[in-house]
Amino acid sequence: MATRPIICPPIPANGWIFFKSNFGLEEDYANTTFFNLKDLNFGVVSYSRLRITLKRTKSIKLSQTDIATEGFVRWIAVKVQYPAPKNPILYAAQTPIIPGVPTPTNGTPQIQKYIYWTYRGNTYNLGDMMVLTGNPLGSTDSEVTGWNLSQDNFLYSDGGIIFQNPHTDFDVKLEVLVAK
Amino acid sequence: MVNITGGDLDIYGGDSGGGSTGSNNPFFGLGTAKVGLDPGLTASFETQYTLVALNEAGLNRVNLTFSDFNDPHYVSFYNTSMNVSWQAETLDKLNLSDFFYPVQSFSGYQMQTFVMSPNTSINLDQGDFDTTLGEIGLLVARAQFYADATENQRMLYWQYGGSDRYIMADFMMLSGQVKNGQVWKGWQTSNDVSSEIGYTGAATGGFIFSNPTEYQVKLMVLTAS
Repeated sequence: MATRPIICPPIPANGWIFFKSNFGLEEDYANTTFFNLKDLNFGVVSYSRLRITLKRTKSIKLSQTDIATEGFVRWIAVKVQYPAPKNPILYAAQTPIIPGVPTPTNGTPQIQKYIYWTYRGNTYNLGDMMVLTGNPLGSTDSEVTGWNLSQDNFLYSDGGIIFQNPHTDFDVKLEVLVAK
Repeated sequence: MVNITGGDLDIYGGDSGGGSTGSNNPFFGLGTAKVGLDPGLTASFETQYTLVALNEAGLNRVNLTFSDFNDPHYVSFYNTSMNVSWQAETLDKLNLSDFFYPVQSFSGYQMQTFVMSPNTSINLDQGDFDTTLGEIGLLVARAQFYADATENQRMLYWQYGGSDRYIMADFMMLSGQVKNGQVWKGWQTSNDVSSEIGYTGAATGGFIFSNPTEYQVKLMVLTAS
C-alpha cells in the first residue's frame, strides 16, 4: 500500500527578525541581537491603527489630520504583507504535486516585495516594513517639524503619505500605526 | 464670630470680637473683621456633594479620575510586537513576528556606531555592498540621547540622496528590495561625492544624519543588503 511521502520542513532561511524586544540576525538557529528595544518607550498622546488593502496598481493616501498636532505626528509604522505561500511547510521545498494537497507556491518572489511611498513629492521604496519617528515641535528650530499627515484641504497642507502598489498581479495589505 | 452661609457651605469669617487674638488666615482665623469671601452680587450659591466611594474599592474610581487616567501612553516593543500601552494594558499592537528580511547569497550587512557632537553632520559610510551596486534593502537606526535632553531635543535630521531633510527621534526603520548585480528597489548608500579636484563640499548622495541639538547623540545604524 502506497503511503504519502514524508516531507521534512526545509531548514529555515537566515534573516533579520524581531524577537521579543530585540531586533537581530537569525543565522543557523542562533540569534544575534543588534538592537535591544526594551528601553524604547515612546510617549504618545493619541494613536490610530489602520488595516488597508492596497489593490494592484492602486494608490492610497495616508492622512491623519485629526490626531496630529498642526498636521504633524510623531510615529508612523507601516508593515506590508504580501501574498504568502499557500502552504508554509512546503515553502522553498522541491516537492512533487501530491493529490489532495494544495499545490504549493512560494508566494511572492522576494524581489517583488516592494511598493512605493511618496512624501512631499519624493518617492521612495518600501519593502516589508517602515518606521518613521519625530517630534512635532522641535526646540532647535523655529519651524514645526515632524511628519505631516494633514489633508490637503485643511489648514496645514502639503501633508500625507501616498502608498502605491505598482504590481499588476497581486494586492498587498498594509498595517499602519500612527501616533502623536 | 460671623457665619456666612451660602447654600450648603458655611464659611467662617472673623469678626471684630476676636480681632486681637486670631491668626492671619482670612478664611478661618478669628483675628480679622473681614469676611472670608466677598459675596459679591450673587451671594448665594450651591455646592453639591457626590459620594464617590462607599468602600475601599470605590476609591479606585477616585484614583482613576484624578491620577491614573493621566498616565501617558507609550509605543514600545515587547512580545515581538509594537504595542500601544497604557499602564499594564496593551491597547493595540502591530505584530512583528512575521517580519523577515532574508540573508541571501549576495547579502551583506554593516553596523555603524557614531557619537555625534552638537550641531554636526555625518555621512553614513556606504560600506561594501558591491553586489547590489551600493543598494541596501534594510536600514535600522537607533539614537540614544543625553539623559537630560527634553522631549523636543530628542531629534535628529536625516537626508537621503540630496533631497529634503526629514526628522528622526529614537528609532527609524527603512526597507526596500535588492537584486544581485543590479540597482533595484532599495536605498542607495553611495555618497556620490564630487570627483572635481579640490572639491571640499558635502556629499550629495547616500544618507546624511545631522544632530541639531546642543548635546551629543549616540547613533547606531544597521545597513543590510
